[in-house]
Amino acid sequence: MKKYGLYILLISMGILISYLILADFLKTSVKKRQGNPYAYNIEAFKKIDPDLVKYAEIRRIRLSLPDPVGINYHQGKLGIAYKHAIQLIDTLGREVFNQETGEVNTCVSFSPEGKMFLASGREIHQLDPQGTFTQSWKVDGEDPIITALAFKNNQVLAASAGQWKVLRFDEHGTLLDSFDGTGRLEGDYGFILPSPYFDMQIDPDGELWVANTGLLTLENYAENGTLRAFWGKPSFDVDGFTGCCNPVHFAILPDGSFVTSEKGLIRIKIHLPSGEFDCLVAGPEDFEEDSEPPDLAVDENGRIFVLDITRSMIRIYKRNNT
Amino acid sequence: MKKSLYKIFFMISGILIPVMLFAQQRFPRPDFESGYQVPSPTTPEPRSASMELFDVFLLLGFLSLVTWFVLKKRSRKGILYLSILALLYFGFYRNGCICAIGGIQNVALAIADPGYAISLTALAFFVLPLLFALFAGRVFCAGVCPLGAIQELIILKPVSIPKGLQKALGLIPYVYLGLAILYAVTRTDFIICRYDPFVGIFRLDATYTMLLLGGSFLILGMFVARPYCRFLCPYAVLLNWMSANSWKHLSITPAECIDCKLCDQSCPVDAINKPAAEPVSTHADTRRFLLSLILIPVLVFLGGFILSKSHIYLSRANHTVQLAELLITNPEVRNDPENLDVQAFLTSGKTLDLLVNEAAVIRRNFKTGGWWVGGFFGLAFGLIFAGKTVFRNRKDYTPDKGNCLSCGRCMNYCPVGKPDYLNLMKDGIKSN
Repeated sequence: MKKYGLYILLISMGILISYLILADFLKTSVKKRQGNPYAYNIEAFKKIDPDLVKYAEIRRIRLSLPDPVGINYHQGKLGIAYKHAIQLIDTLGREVFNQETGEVNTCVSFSPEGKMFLASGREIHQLDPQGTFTQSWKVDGEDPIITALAFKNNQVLAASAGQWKVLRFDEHGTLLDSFDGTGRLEGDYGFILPSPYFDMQIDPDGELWVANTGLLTLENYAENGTLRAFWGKPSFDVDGFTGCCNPVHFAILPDGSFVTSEKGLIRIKIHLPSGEFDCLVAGPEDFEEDSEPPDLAVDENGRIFVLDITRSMIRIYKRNNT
Repeated sequence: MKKSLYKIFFMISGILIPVMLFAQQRFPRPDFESGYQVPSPTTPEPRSASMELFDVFLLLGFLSLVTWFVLKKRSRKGILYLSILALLYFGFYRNGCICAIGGIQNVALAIADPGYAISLTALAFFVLPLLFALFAGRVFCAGVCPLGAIQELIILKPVSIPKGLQKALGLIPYVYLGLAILYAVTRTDFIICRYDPFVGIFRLDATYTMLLLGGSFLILGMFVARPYCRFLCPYAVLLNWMSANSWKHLSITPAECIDCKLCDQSCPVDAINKPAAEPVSTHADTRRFLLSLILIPVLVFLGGFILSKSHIYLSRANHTVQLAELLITNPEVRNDPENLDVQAFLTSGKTLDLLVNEAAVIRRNFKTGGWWVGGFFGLAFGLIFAGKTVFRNRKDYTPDKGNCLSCGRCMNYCPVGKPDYLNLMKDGIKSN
């Protein structure tokens, strides 16, 4: 009797095994395979907690030229790089000048003295206050794509997303040196840029911060190009950075806090100087579906200028309690 | 004896543990905190050439040690401890890949398709166990194969399966081997890897179906020892051939068998041949043998014919064939954005004519392959049938060289040469 029970168990197991193999084999036909079983639904993350939003949109400036790519601020003026033009406006949207350019522009920046610089792929141009090109220089090397410019000690720092390097030029455009972020204590990865976004800023203390998007970190580099500090963590939650490579753009507020802009799940966030999450400026629901990630600029009063590339406008945000 | 076993165990552990610690992730894993199941890759992450070489040397070391335990030391414990280490390293640490069993497909594809380059590591993992089987029997199954080891550890109360059923189930590995080769050379699927019941357990990421499959095999394995090895493993077919003709092999007794019958029920996989006197040969036996020999070419032809005629059904497992059929029979599927395979085809820019031509070539390959594989089935069945008509005279209890997994259990039962030999003998004689 006992043996019969055992045989029944064994036969059942045999049938189950045969069924599992056959069922799995048959279910994977093209006809039956519907949808991507591994698709990750991020809809839930698009909804943000309104209590975390501490900024309000106070004004919008519709841009007069097509295809904006980058924005920067200096003493009441906003420099806007378009695909084939450069424009200077005031914070009310009144134009100072606009100038057509031949190449495809990638970013715009101001030196501490107010000199305007424009990068177009492998070229860096300097403009006078009337928008006339005063000097230009070419960046040598394989595939330089200059995506950010910063200024320190009369030197021009250029973030080259094509080369995964920060290049250092003197004020006349002579290449002094470069660094690639390697030489850190743990690992030796350097800058990892899965997509052509590579932003860089100088904080109020004169420290250089670089967005190492592949590692989802913001990194502080010393004069000699060695890593001094970093922060950032991968997370779909609001306190981290999502996806393969973020933050794609950032700016630094007068108090040293960071304003970050993420692609994919578009979020504009404030992180304290320590890197700790502070609050949200805007969330995915404030932007159109599949929007380009917005570039950022900040003024001396802590207002944030968000370049909404898809809608071709500048959206100005101000902290609620100030 | 015991001390030396422990020394070997700790020595190998000492080598393996630091190797495992080399592993580190280059990037932090994306953080999915909402219960999202990260899809598991079908193969583990690539390994450096030096570490692959290390794996080959380790395999060689394991095979050599098991051979030593089986042939020289006659130590069941040694074999068992080694199999546990192999389970930990080749199973849980190396995620069950690379493995000799799956290597069949790589080798078959490399032979059939000059464009497919097989790695030397995969080749070594395929060839070395076979060479050792030719020298010393199935030592790979005994103490190196992680799939064997996991089943070995859960054997609870093995029951003896009726001979007829055992023979019938024993044909499944031949079918599995043939189909695995056919699907590999037509680039349809690596079904051995896909239906490896334990790989999901080794990687600790089994899907529900595979967990159920692995669990079923383990539950079954408590009562039917090593069910995968005996009734499914396609590599066992090759090992069986090698081992049946091996130069040396595990022996139950270290000296002359005293026919005490103590080992009679010791083998959980029913691989002990009992003494049998050769019956007087009759004309009927000779006729049966000759008939079976004549039957072999008939079975080969019949097998080839049936399988080649089934090529349309067999080829439906191929992705290209499926897609071509679907697009012809259901053209409206082009508008289904949810069907990723169709959408991927449409965005590839490939024309339907080209896809249909590719599918036709694959079908032709299935037809040709069907002849070979069907012929192989016929040959295997014919030879097994012919083997049944031949009687062998056996005086002693001996392992069935082809089916014996060299686990060494039977050696422990043999009283010959043991210190309490006489007492054991008396007990054995009493109990019998």
